[in-house]
Amino acid sequence: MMALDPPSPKNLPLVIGVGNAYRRDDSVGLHIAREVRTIAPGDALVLERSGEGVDLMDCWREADRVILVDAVRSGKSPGAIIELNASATPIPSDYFHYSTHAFSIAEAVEMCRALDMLPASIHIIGVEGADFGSGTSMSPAVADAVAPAALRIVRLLHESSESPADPTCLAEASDA
Amino acid sequence: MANRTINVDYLARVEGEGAMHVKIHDDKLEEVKLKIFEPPRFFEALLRGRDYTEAPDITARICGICPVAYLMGAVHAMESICEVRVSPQIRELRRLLYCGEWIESHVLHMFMLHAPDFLGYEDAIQLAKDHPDVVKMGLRLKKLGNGLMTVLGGREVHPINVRVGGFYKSPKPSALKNLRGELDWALGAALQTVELVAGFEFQDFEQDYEFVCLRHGEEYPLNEGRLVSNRGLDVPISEYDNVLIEEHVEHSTALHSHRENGDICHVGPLARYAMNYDLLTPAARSAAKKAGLPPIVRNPFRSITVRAVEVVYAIEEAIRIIDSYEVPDKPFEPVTVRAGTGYGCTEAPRGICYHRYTIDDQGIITDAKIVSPTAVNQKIIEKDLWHFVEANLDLPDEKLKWTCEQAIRNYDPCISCSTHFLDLTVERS
Repeated sequence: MMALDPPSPKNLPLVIGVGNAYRRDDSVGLHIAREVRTIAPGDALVLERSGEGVDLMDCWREADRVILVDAVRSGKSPGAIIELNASATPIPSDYFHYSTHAFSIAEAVEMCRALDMLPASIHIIGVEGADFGSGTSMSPAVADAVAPAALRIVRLLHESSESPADPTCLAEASDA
Repeated sequence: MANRTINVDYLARVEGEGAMHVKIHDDKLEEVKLKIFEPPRFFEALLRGRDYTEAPDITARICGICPVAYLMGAVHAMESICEVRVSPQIRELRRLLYCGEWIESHVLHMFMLHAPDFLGYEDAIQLAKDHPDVVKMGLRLKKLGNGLMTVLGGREVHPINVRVGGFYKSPKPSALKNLRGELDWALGAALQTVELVAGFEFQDFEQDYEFVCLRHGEEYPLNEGRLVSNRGLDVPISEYDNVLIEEHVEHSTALHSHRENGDICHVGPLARYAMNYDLLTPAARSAAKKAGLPPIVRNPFRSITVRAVEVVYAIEEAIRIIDSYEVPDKPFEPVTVRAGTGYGCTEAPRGICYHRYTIDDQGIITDAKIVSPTAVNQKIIEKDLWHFVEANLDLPDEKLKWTCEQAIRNYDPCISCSTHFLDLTVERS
């Protein structure tokens, strides 16, 4: 049997889970990416990355459609799921606080926009984090957001409708 | 009596966050403080009671941009205690990993953080709109640094393949050869970068520094060497605690450092370059000459050009190592635990990074001390600012503020290595 080439970013939508597995709620993007891989195998190329800006730019270099998922700090209650269409609007600069020399997700997206290298469609799904301390367990409200955030990503993969341009809170945590 | 107050609430384009306060009274400079107020992270305390094998990976978490400095400081210290001598191949691979970190870190600083200062842009994104080719070149160079880190360390941030005695796994020759073509391109791009940054307009500001760095004698320093200075210091790294004294000052949670005689010293690219100019590769030295750099550069604003020269060196060194690479017989040397105290001091992109550990006969860490280069440079940053502001009191507030921030960025401070938030306040009264 002829070996199949791995799916290329050009052919499949790209879902990139970003985070640090050892900084509690900062790991939520990775957990959501794994959940997407489980519930929608084959629907997207799912990657897990640290969030280093140049690496992200390289990941989506060939992609037309990208969904990025990461922990955010926007002032909402922990576990709130936020969505924005980064193709249409700049990312608020203080959403992604944990950077490496200030070149991470927001800078990578905005740098691509400035260089006219942004994928045609790029959506951000953020989950409000509460605890970014050392450890591998997430806050309960953040852990509860993994499944609904993954479902939202799968819906996005299957629908052609655009996300709202402005950041929109899709779901508040149940204890908010 | 003239009263002026200048506040900058957030100093961008440095790693981490802190504060700076400049107080001017009646056109006389009264106070300059680089304030670092984030609570300490207690890594040294965290290490106590842990196994000696854990020190590299734990300390690498101190910094996302210079983890290799921490990995190397820890492994060298532990190997000196356990009397481990690594093979020449492993030694070369460690230099190659460090080249990756220098390229990644220097390029990020030059293109994304410091170049906007010289070209009058708020940040690299604004710079990219007008100079896309320059920024694209910087991003591609940085990606090469990431690539070296990934091949040798397993990933581009916080590598996981380094252990006491060597590496968990040796890289495949094919993985290194895959980077070879890009390194050829990178050498040309790095030389172009030297030319580019040398053309920036620099403040006329020279200082008489005591430059402290490593000197190995046979190679431009990365992992090893004696602690030397242009004022006669020349000691093994085990003497570090006797020649660089730490003190607590009220306005910083990161300990300040000074020489044993009270003098303030300067660590980083300018120091390395001044003390090891003869050990640069011919191409790097020629690029420096062409850029108008003398063998000793005393203007900190020109550190960007010295960094560019060091990138040329790192790329040439990477090419040399890859071209002569032979897979080591074993990826690491076996380690027999011994009790004792050991030292590691390597050249992080922003200067010497010192480690000292004591372990017991079971390999448990009983004492640890780690000094980051930014912590050592705190005093010299304050001194530079003092002299710069004093000489430029007639500058309009906005211009003074802008240039003070630029002066801080001359040191590419990695405040996260000891703290987070930097606000800048200039108060005139």
